[in-house]
Amino acid sequence: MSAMRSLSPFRSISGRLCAAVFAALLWLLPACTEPLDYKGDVNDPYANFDQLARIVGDRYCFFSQKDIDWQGACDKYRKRVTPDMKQLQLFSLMSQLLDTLRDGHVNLIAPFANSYYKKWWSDYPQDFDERTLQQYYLKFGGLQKAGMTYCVFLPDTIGYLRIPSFSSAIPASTLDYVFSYLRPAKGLVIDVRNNGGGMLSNVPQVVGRFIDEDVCGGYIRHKTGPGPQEFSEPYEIKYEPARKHVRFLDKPIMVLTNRSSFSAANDFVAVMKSLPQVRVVGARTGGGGGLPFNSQLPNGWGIRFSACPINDCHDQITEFGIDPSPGCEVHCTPQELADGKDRILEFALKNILK
Amino acid sequence: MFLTLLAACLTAAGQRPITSVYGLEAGASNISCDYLSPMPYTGSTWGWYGGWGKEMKQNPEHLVMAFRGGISYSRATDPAVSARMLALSARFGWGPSWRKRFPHNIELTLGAALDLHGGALWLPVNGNNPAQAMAYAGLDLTAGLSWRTRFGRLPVTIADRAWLPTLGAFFAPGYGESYYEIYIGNHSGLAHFGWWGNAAGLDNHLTMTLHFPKYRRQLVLGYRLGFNTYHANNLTTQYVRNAFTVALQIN
Repeated sequence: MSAMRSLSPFRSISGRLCAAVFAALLWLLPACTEPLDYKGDVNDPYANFDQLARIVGDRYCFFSQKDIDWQGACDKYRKRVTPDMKQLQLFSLMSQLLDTLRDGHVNLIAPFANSYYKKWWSDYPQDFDERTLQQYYLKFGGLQKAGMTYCVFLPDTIGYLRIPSFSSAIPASTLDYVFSYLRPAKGLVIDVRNNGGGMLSNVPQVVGRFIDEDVCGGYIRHKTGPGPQEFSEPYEIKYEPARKHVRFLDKPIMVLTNRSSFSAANDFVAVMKSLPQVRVVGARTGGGGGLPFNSQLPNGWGIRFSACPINDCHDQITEFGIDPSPGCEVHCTPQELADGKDRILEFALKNILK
Repeated sequence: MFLTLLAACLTAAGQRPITSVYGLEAGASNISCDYLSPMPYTGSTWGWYGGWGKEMKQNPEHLVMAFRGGISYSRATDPAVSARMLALSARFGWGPSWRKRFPHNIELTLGAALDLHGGALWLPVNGNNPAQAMAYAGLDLTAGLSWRTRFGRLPVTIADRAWLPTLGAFFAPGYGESYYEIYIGNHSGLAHFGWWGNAAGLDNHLTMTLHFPKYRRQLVLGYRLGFNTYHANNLTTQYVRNAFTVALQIN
């Protein structure tokens, strides 16, 4: 009886209609959305290879500057893909394909290894040895904070600031202490040799200590679509003076570089070189003038690549490195470094006040 | 706090009864965001929501207004189960509706509503572009159909309410644009006019309210389908939630 009563609303036509409408809604609503599901086999070597080729082909930003035939490279390497490839074999093949980009910002990221193109620095002299610097010039001393080392070389009172990395944020308060200490110096040597980059936001923090008005630090673009020439208009990167902080103005500055000054350090050198009181000393930097982007393959491997070119203040590409200032190219042989001689630093200390 | 304040304002507005609903939801989520990854992500979702409705004094029989708000959190993985994407979003809406009562306790409402929807997708495995913001502000069409009936001696109301984003504006970065570029000041091309062609969405809530005659509170069981798709700058972001809901309704 109670079951009969509970069904009673469905006896009328309107009741049946309502019930049908709501039942249909319950049934149909989940079907309103296109299922977001990956249909393929995530470990299919061909699918993974093709996705890698497509991601890079659509989004990489330096094909034309490097004269790379990406499609040709993909066709060449795809012939070596086999259905039963082991993961390590596929990783190795994809890494070789990515090496054709000749870019230190390109990595294939698998759970067991990361690929890394090394020739941007390994094909060049290192021109620097940390031990030589620390032992023979800094005497294992100097003040250290936030990864930086700073001191004043006597008797000429030349300030020295080593920034070995931009990988961590440099607090403004730390820079205040650093530049309060260095401000009495007659000149400043900033050493970014072996600085492999890091956080781009550190660059304006440091550059702001050396400028008294807004300067153009470069131009950034991004891809607006998958086509090879689909780029946005250049956007000017402005650097502002750190007016509320301690600054180092109107004194000569030398920035020491080697081939391992890369990425954010490369940008730092590019901006500093545009300042009138700055000379760049050492070897051409390693480049890395494209802001990287990450993406992903079906098997879960990550891919990282240059996506947004950052050019210098003359809108010239920085991907291939920044040259030293005229007359300031200096190299150190391995033997000199082993003998405790850092020619680049000595050149700077000798010439900064000239 | 904003919701509490609004509820207080509504209460103070007059003697017309206010219906409040406070609920929890749990279910499945599907997320796809070209900016972060070409792979779709699937996982779970949880949320809290609230809704307030009352008749409008101009025409209590035919005009009602409703406010709703909610937050949701989703956690999803890629097909290879190698990376996790997190989504946090919040939604607020307010709008009036025209109401028509039909025989057999059937009620239809049609209206429009202001809709604010914002949140972020976060893919920690992406070191350089780990997040994507979602933001939408616009006008929704709303519709509701309810039927009050009985199961045995228990009065129940079966209802379906849908919010359909129609015209608005939404945020999308450039195809390969980094948030660093936005941070340093390049804001061009970020805001987009949204319509069904590039900002499709639906928030549909099918509910069954169990009325307990001795109490002022009712139990509301339901199922919610929510999806939002944004397409601009050669990028597509789609966020789908299927969730069962349980709520208390207070008259």
